[in-house]
Amino acid sequence: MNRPTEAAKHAMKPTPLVLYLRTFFLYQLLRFVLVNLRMLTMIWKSHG
Amino acid sequence: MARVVVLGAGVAGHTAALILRRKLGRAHDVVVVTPNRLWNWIPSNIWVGVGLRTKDDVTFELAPVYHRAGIRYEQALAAELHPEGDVGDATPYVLIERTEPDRRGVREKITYDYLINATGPKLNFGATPGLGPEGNSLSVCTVAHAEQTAAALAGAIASMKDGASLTFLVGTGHGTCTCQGAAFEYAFNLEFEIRRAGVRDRARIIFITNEAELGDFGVDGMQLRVGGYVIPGKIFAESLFAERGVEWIVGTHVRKVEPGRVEYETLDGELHELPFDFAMLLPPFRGADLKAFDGAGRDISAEVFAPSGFMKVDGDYQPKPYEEWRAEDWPKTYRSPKYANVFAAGIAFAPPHAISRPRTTKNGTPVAPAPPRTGMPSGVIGRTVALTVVELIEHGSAARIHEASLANMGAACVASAGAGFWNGTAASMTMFPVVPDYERYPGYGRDLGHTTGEIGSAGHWIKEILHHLFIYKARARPGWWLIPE
Repeated sequence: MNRPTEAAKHAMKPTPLVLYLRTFFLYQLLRFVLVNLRMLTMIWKSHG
Repeated sequence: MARVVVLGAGVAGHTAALILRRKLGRAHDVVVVTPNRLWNWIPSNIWVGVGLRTKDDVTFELAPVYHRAGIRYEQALAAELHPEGDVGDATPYVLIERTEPDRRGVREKITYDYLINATGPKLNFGATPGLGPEGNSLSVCTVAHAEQTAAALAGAIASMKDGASLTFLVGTGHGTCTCQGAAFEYAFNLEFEIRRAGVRDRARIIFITNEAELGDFGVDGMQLRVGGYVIPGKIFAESLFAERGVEWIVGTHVRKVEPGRVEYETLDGELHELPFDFAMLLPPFRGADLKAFDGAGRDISAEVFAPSGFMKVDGDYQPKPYEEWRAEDWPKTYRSPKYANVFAAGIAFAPPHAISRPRTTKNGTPVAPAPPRTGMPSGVIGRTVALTVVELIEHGSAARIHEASLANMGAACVASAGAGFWNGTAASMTMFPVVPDYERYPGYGRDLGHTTGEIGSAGHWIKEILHHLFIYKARARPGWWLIPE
């Protein structure tokens, strides 16, 4: 887009449930564990 | 007894120095040359730039850490490399220029047996007329710049509370910038703080970038496996911008920044103007201002460094089109092909080419994101080079040369989208490998099982923890070596 875009109209938008889960403590606690495991795997793969 | 000189005390250089000191006996010297008195956890400069952290939160004095670790610390700029010594004495050395207030400009020689160039980027604000804090835009690249930006933001918020409506411009200040991720983080932290201040309805926020599409991040974008589909990262990136009401302009080269106005060119060759009240635009990078001379005093900088100023290492620097780029082009050992005892780590090494497809506008202006060298890869490279140097010192010709190609290395990145324990979020991303390998991973170039992204509070908590963890590690506190790069 050459100018500040109107493409935002066509962008995918999160539903209210998705927005809620982004900061819902218990769900994010689970994601915290899983994301850390994912990152530790990445670190292990990268340290050769 | 061997002497290893490390130029630079950023992520790569500081990591290398600490590992060298830990692995080498005290009979060997480890010397760090850096113009800075302070170490800076650069990822948190974003939060300094929105007023959430102070300089003291993201920096510490280097001298006491190096003293405690047994590392010789020289506060100086590296000005010249003499890898062949001089006429009459072939001992290689670095010519340094002191930066302490009472010895500023004094030049001295430091000889070495091994050299690690980890000088990082030169912030090339001069590439765009009017760009930068000395000109007409703001920056968060250094903690001093970030403090200045935070003050400007506080003033802007105060104006909006008094009823003003303002335009905020965030992004890249040149067609060849890297660090789009940092600009992304700043845009969303800015939006978050303006919303927290209760004046979001008075702020128009525009993101301007040299990426051809959002989500490129200088790594040619990512493909994410979500809900049974493989989806371009662009879709998720645009989603966040749309959700938070941040407008965007892609495929741009900023030509000049005047007070309150930016002029930019787009891929179709058209020129545009955009007025702003607040602009945070990142500069392109060059290598540090370092020259090299042979034993006869002849300037050999063009043989040792690429035209970008970054040091050539064991990469394939033959110019080739995007379609012929290969994972094998990327360096593995970061060793100079000209001098076997010289290495370049972190941002200081010359990439063989970009990762993202380079483009030019219809007028021939390059719009080509440069490849990022973020914290994790830089730390891994610093560690790898340090381990190689230890091997060379202890085992000579039987040394095991360690490797860490970006085409065989992943990255874990956390991009903050707003800070706060209960309502802050960040995008947690992993990708493997950093440099796509289409032969190993046909179609997508990356392992989809290890290339992931999600946004939530978990990411923010991780980013906070990383802030404290890496400052602890950099201070060489007990057990620091247990924290991986």
